[in-house]
Amino acid sequence: MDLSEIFKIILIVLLIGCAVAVNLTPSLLQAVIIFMSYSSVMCLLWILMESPDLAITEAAVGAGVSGLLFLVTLKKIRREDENAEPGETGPAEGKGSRR
Amino acid sequence: MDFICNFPLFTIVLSLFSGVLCTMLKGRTAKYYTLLYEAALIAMLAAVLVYTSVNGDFTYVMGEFPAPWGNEIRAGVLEALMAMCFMIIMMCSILAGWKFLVIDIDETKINLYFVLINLMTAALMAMIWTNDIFTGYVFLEILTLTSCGILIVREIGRTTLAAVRYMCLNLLGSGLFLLGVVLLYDITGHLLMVPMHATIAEIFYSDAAMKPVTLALGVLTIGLSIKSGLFPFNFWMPDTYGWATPTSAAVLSALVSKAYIFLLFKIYYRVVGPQIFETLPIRKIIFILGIMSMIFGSISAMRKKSINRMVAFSSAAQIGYIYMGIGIGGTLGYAAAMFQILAHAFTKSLLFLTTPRLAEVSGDSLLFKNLQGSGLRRKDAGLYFLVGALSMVGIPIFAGFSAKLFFALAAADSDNLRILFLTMTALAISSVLNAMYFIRTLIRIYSSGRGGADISAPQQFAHMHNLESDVPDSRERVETMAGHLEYWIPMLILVAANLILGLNSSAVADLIQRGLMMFD
Amino acid sequence: MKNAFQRWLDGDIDLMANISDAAREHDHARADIKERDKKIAREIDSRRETVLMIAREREGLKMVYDVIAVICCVLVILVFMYIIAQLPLYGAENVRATTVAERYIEHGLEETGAINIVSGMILDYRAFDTLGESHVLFTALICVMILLRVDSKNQRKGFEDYYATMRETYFASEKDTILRTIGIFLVPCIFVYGIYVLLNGQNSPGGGFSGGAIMGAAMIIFTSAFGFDRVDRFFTLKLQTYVTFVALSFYSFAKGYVFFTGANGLENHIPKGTPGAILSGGLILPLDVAVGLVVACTMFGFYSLFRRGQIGGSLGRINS
Repeated sequence: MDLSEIFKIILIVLLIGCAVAVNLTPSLLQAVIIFMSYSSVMCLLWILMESPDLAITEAAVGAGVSGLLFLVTLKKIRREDENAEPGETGPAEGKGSRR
Repeated sequence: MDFICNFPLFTIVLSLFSGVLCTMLKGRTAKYYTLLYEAALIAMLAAVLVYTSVNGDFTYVMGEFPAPWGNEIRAGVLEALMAMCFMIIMMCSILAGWKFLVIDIDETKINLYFVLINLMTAALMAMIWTNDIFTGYVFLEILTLTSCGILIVREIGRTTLAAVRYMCLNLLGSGLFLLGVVLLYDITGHLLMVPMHATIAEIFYSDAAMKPVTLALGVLTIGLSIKSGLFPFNFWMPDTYGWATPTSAAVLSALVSKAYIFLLFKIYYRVVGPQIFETLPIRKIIFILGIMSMIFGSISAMRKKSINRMVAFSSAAQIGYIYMGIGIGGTLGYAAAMFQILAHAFTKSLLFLTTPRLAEVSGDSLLFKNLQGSGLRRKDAGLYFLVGALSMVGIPIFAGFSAKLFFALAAADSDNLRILFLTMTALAISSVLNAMYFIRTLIRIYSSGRGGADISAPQQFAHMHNLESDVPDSRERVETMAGHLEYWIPMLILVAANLILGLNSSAVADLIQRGLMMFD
Repeated sequence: MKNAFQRWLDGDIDLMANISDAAREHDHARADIKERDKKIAREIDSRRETVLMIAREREGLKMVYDVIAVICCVLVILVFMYIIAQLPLYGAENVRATTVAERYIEHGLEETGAINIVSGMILDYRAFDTLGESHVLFTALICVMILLRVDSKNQRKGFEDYYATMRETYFASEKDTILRTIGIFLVPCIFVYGIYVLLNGQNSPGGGFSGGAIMGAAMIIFTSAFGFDRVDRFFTLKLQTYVTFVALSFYSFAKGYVFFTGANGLENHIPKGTPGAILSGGLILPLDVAVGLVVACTMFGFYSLFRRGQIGGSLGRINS
């Protein structure tokens, strides 16, 4: 078993760890950051599987833009910290309601 | 190759283009453009239907590389018939629900709604014509996103909540479908349906391991069952259909779930093949789940207090019929399932387009206690609801009766006493249950009583929120003659289609069976 | 610590505040007591329905749900591992499964003109799927626009967000030296890199999607560092609509033309060029550019809609 196989196994174990950790962390901010690291580990795995197209896209989209959009959403609903006061987030009832 | 053979390509590409075009148009222009385009589409599809029923089906290579290296689409009688009926329903839904679209959607977003409708048209067409399993997945994604989009466009809290739940479940279904596709590709090495069928047949007849194929098909089936609402997965239906704007509810319940079932049926018929499929345990599981869907859907529908939620659950029950038909198997079983797809599509859109009109004269409330007498207050909506309800129950002359009759004939033809017994029992029980809640609703809307008619409408609240709106108060929501015609003409078309399916069912069934023979 | 739903159930937050406020104003204007009574009765009715709908979600034992969820996940994992155990190993010889892939590898260069076989495959052999995929991104943008774009209804919230971002950028330009300095150096490099990846889709790994995502990311960094007002000068809603429309229509019609000529047996006269040059690969370069532009606009559009509910726009003009 050569070095690249061992490296792959370590990365896969890290991947599973990240996936489980995203579910188990209490704070949403931590979960988003672990999700971004999950994407980065996936990017490395794509390179090891000889698909550089996928690696570039995964890095740009997964670790980059989609993690960023999650953070912007957290800021918008003001829930970075699970213990913090959530902002007023009622559904807007207006033109669409016929009841 | 005749020029008509290019029409399926045109339907897909032009629909995609129309979707993008509608971002540049204003609201009403987008509506007129969409309606004109759909009329042209119906004409093209009718031409394809005539052509394929005369000349047989044809395969259309997408690009210069033949199968199995390139992509291709295929058009036959069954596909053309389905596509044409879907487009008729979509056009009628837009016309009949236009009044409520204007009320429910903000003016700046109406053109975005038509973008989604056009993209949904493209996705429906592509899923019907496709001969490739991955193309089916790609357009399934588009269908998922557009169906969630046409739900959230009505921006009230309950719809957004229902749409988010619908989206999560749909994405789970898409994920499982993609996993099934990937596994099948890894086993067979093809993505086009006909070569994949050759490989699977080779695996099956050489007694190689068939288990991975069966499990992959199982994963794929679970994915599509979640999206179309088979028995354990239909809890999202009442919230989703109940709160949507009427056009969206009609399009979603009549067309979108049927497209998923049609894709699943295509995979079973073309990729696996009827002979191999009848030996798989998936068929029996689908049969049982279809029957349970029929019964439990109806039981849940009876307990609802709001008419939209009741109609949504009866949708779950009727989809169970289709799965039961696929489970019965044999040419008659599949033909019965396809006939039920058409019958249910026409009937369900009829129902969802009449209930808000009944609610309008009952203080905008969809609760049963307020709907009392609404059929007498508004006679046209009551009449259309009557037609739809009788069709659902299974009264002769209407489409529902012919569908149930075909299921019984298919079960009798299957030479399997257990299937026959189970089918007949299930048909009987579900018809009785259907009758119980639909006839009760009919009695309620036709009995005399003021119901909720004295509750003044909440449009006055919208007045307060909309700073420069010109939406009239609901007491002044008087319709012009054009508005009336805009409602009556599409509804009469749907009723006529229902009656054609009911009275002339053997002609339609012949067409479907001819399509099935060229389907594999 | 209760979360939002529980506090709402206890009555601490009032989600129906908008409706009841409007109702009360309306009634004072009309002074119609019978109407008000009926309205309140129906509000309570509809409020009760929402409570029930959300309370239904909270029903049931949460513990049982957790256990069943874990069991389901483990079952699904076991089923997949069983299937995959029976599939051939990664990279092993598998005659049955590689008939299609062999031809792509052996003849891909000469048939599509692209050195990067992956680009050749997704934009030439299986171009129909990519046509659908690019429209998936566009559909997602439309759905986000429907959900988040400020219209006459949520104007108040939209104004708040807009002024919040204005305040941020005003102060940020004075305080956030790190972001600005790094932005000055990194943004041009990332942008040029994105354009490079896009234009070289047929010769090296990359292509429309990756290049567009990188360009979109560059624009997002630029906005974070320098504020929205600089971006608003060139990226307006009109520009985004036009660019998306032109790019996607070009894609649909170009590929439609290729499919039409291919199916009817006609020549499509698209030059394949010499492999390795920039202008090679037939239609792959123009399609890459189109897809890249759409993806970049979409990524930045998402960011803009999430931050302040509109794309482009100037002070006070919300409805574009």
